[in-house]
Amino acid sequence: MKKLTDIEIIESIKRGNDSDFALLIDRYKDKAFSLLRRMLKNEMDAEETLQDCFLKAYNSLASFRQDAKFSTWFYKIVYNTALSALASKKRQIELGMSSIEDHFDLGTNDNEIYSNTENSELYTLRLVDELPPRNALVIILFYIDGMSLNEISQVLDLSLVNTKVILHRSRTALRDMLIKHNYHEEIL
Amino acid sequence: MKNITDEILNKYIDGELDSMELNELNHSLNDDPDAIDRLKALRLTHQILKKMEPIPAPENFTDRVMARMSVGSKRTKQVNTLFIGVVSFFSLCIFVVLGFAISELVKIDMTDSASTVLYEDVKNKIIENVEPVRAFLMSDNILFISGMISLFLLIGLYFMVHTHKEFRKSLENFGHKA
Repeated sequence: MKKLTDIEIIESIKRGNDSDFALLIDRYKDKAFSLLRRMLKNEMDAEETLQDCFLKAYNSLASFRQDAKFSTWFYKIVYNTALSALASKKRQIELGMSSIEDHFDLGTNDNEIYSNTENSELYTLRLVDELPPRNALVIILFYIDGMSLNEISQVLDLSLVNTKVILHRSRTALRDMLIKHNYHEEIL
Repeated sequence: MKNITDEILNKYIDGELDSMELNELNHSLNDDPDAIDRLKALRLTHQILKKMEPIPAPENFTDRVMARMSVGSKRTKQVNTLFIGVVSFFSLCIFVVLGFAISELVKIDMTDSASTVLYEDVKNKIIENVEPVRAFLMSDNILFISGMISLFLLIGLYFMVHTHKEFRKSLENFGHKA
């Protein structure tokens, strides 16, 4: 059976088939949840925020232009809603760390993370949670969602250059932690 | 290539180097074991990240959102009905008041007949009943308070409409740009 595209599903919803929105939810819920879970650092907040995101998307579908990609449009809603959730929980300090001018230190909880992870893979994935929210977001959108840097820059309202800088810095920081524990020697 | 920076290595991983830069990098790597280490570790990081799986959303998540959606649309319909009711009521009141005001202003030239007497009778009775209310509403304090309330309501309405328009515009612009 042919898989419907996002645009075909949206057209169907606009024709009055509201139940088709469930197809979009099923398609994006896991990826968006991963993103919110890492940004908000709390499962319940992530679920509640994700529900709000889907409701916002449903209520704004009329304003969605079909020459755009639904995923980019939807992740912009997710990102902005997550920022509001963070701000309302007075986590601006954490948010402020996401400025690309700032340096971040992945070594703060390193001893605990290193001793609780069995291999380089689990160790690296656990470290992604330690990245500042915006850096983690870029990594997730790039690697899990397979979005291009251009699309990510639209979601985050950043220039392409700055988005690339965030990706490179995050990846380099993760790599430095692997080097610190000599994990890279496994493949030398 | 004098110095193999992390920036160059990241571009290499993302396939952003052209053939000339690639040749130069390959040549320089032969003399830089530290850069080889950094590149291998970066490649390992890239491979691990590529294997990253999404965290599954909680069970029955879709059902919960769909349930909230249907509650929301029912509530919107109820609010719409209430809104139409209130607007209709006030519109009717405005028409009644306007009708009364017009009847006061327009002088009907009527001959002295039974209908004129009846008309005068009804008019006097209405004026008698309405007069205390009119006097109360026309007092300076009430006029001032209602004027202020109207002003605040208008300002509030302006900001509400403005914010809503900006939000819609930003969503539409985004859709257009993308």
